Order: sequence, then C-alpha cells, then structure tokens
Amino acid sequence: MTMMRGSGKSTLLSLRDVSVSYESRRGPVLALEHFNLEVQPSSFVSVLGPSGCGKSTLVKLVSGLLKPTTGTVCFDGKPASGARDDVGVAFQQAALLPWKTAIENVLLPIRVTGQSVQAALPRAEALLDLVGLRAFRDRYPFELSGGMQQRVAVARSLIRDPSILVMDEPFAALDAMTRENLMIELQRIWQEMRPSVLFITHSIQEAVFLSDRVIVMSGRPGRVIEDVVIDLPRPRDQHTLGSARFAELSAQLREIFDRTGQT
Amino acid sequence: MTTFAYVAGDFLRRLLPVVLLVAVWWVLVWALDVPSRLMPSPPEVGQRIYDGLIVTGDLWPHLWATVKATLLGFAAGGGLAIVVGSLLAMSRPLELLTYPIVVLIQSVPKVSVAPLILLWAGFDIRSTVILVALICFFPIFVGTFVGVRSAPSVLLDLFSTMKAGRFATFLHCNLPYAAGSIFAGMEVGWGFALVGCVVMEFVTGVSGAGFLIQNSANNLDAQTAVASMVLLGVMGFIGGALMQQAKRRLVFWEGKGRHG
Repeated sequence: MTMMRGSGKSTLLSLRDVSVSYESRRGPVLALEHFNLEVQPSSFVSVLGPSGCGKSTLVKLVSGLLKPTTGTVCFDGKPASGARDDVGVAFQQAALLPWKTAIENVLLPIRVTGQSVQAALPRAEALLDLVGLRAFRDRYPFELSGGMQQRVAVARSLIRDPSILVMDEPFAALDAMTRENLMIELQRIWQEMRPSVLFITHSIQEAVFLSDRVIVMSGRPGRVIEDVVIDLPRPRDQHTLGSARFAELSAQLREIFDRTGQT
Repeated sequence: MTTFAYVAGDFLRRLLPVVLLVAVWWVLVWALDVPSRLMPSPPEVGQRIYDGLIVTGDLWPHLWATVKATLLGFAAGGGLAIVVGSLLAMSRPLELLTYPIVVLIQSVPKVSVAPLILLWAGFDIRSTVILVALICFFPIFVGTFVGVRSAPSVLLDLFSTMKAGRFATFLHCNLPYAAGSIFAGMEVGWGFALVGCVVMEFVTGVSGAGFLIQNSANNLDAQTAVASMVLLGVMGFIGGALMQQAKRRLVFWEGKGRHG
C-alpha cells in the first residue's frame, strides 16, 4: 500500500497499528487495539461506533492530547508529537468561555497562542458569517441557544485554517431538529472550506449524510470492522435524506451493527 | 435606572432586619431601665456619632486609622493569597510541597500572634497591617485555590489542543473561572480583616476604632464604645456591599443560562 503516495493520493493523517491502554482502578483497560486509519486531504471521514468503543480515545490521539501505547500516529508521513496548530477540535459540548463574546470565542485559539488578533479578525468575522451568526457577533454564550453555541465552536475550530478538523460527536447534546439543521449546514461549510474532517459519531444518519467514508468500529477494545465508501453525490441537502441510496447505505451500516451484535 | 432601583431595593431588603434589631435594642434598654453608662439607647448612640463625625469630628482620626490599616492589610494579604493560591493550584509539585505548611499556619489562631507581631514591628500601623494581612489571607487563598482548580476539564482539553501555554491557560481560563470564588473569599476575608485590625488596636492602644472602644469602655463611656462598634459595622457592611457590586460586574456571566 506504499504505492498510495505514488498514485498521487497522499495521506494526511495515518494511524498505524495503534493500541492504547491505560490503568484504571480495576486494572489495565485496552481502549484501542491494532487500530488502522488513513485520512486523505480534503476528505470527510466518519468513525461510527457504539458508546465506549474508544472514540474519545481516538479524538485525544489525533488532537495530540494522548500518545499511543504502541503504533504510530503520523501527519503527512511524519510521526506526531503533542498538540498541533493545524488540527482544529470541536467537542460534544461547545466549550465556549462564558465571559467572552461570540467573536472573541472564535478568536480564542489566536489569542492564547500570542498571535495577532487584529490580523485574524477579518477571518473570524468571515467564519461567523459562514456559520450564520454575523448578527450575534457581540453576544455572550448565555445569550445564544445550544445550536448557536455549537456553531461558534465550529467557527473557532476553523480559525487557524486547520488541515484536519476533529469533531467529537459535536451534535450529540442538541435536540433532533437542531441536529439535522446543523448537519446540513456542516456539509455546506465543509464544501466551502474543504478541510479533512474526522467526525466521531454514533448516529448512522449523520455518518452517511456527511461522509466520503464511514469507518465502523467494534466495541471495546476498539477495532476497525468495516470501511464503507459513501457515494452519494454532493452537494447534499434535505432531499438526500429522502433518497433511495441514502436509505440503502443506512440499512447497510445498520446491518453491520446487527451482524456484529452491537446496538 | 433599573440598576439604581435594583441596588436601592437590595439595600432596603438588607436594612429591614437591622431596623428590627435596633427596635429590639431600644425596647430592651427602655424596659429594663439600663443605665446609659452601661448600655446607651439608639438615639444616644446616634447623637454620639453625629457629634463625633460632624460637630466635633473627634471620631474621624480613629476611623481613618482603622480604614487605612484594614485596607492596606487586606490588599497585601489578599494580593498574596491570590498569587499563592493560583501558583499552588496550577502546580502539583508546589502544592504538595507547601499546602501542608499553609494549613499548619492556618491552624494557629492568628490573633495569638498579635503580641509577637508587636514585638517585631513596633507600636504603629505596621503591626496592624501585618495582622490584618495574616488573618484575611486564608479565606482568599482557599477561594482562589478552589476556584482555579474548578475550571471544566473540557476547557482545559480545548486549551491543550490549541497549544496554549500554561500561563495563557491560567490567564484566559482558570483565573476568570475562579473570579466568583475569589470574590466569595474576599467577602469573608474583609470581615476577618476588620477583626484583625480591631484586635491589634486593642493591643497597641495608640489609635483606631479598636483603641477607642477599649479606652472609652475603661472610662465608663459606653456611648462612645457602642458608637465605634456601629461605625465598624458600617465599615464591614460597605466593604461587603462594594465587593458584591464588583462581583456582579466582573463575574456577570455567573448564574446566567447554559454555559456549554
């Protein structure tokens, strides 16, 4: 498979034979085992798995919060060490600072690393525009709805123009209507910005709608059990959700879950 | 205007129990026929305060001495408490090394050190400032320590993924999160500070509200003693109210909606 590079399709992020174990009160726990994953530039990859399959461990690995026990995590073919400037992260909670306005929260990654806030301001404004919050620029998080807060968090994760965006079930804490709207909006944003996205979710609908590829994980210890290519045409919108191909792919993923005895 | 109405309403709500207390005091002094040299009635105390502040002005130097020493000590002790509390909360090794010492110092009643402080710093304002600083240190230290440690782990994770340094994380995440808790410590600390100040003025016997209380009680002048007590109470109240106002402005987000 080393020919991948030669064929012009370089790999942005690769996890090779990664295992992660950690100590708990009840002895060592194996969170990930022989985990392999490759993400190409500008591709949207979802990781779908049951709760407790080591998805958050995966997020921590890629965002540099955690080192693998064995195996390697590489960016552009080079082994990763620690947190990176070119990785944007969005968590399940919006994790906004309550004393900062929307625009200040978007600019936070710039400010805390001592870069010029002034220079980044136009970009921050454009990003707020992109997530549809231009009018809420100077509002505080407690004045925004849960969905709006998550949009601010998405804009913040994009401020440093990351080559890869890691999203850890970013819509899980929202109500169904808001989730669907944000899902459609995220695919629009992705079409405009085209970062690579590693999208962690336990929603089949989200995974199928958003992704180029869906990685299905087993329960703990987390392993890749299936790599499904989603060939729905882009741009996708509400109509995609009702299409026959969408239903077919969803059923296929559902079947993989049932086959492996997971819920 | 709404802010003014709110503050005024808040003030009246706080004032009502005080009015009741004064009424009970008045009734008791009148019903039990307590002589004024032991316990004056509210109007007598009011008269003394009026005279002391406006007619003769003899209370001012003492009040000023107390305010000055308390403010200086509070600023020094509080400032140190915020710095030390932050350092210990941000550094595990430093915490393990020094926390036991801080607790040990706290276990000694600070007032018992007063004569020693006098021995070291002499009969002037310096002794008072030192005791005040020592006595208001702990509540503010604990408020800071607990507050800095209370930052949500998802935010700390976020700061690590952004490659924020430890100081940037402290400045932009831990410290603002701790603000409410620091203010709570400061409110307690301000009450403590006044106690420390009065005790030291008892001991030094040079000037201040504490000195005035002791001196006038010795001279069977309960009127002046109670008047000084009331003024000390006013000082405590004003300090607390100012801090609550500052807290409301600075920690404006607390208790508002969801914080995700």
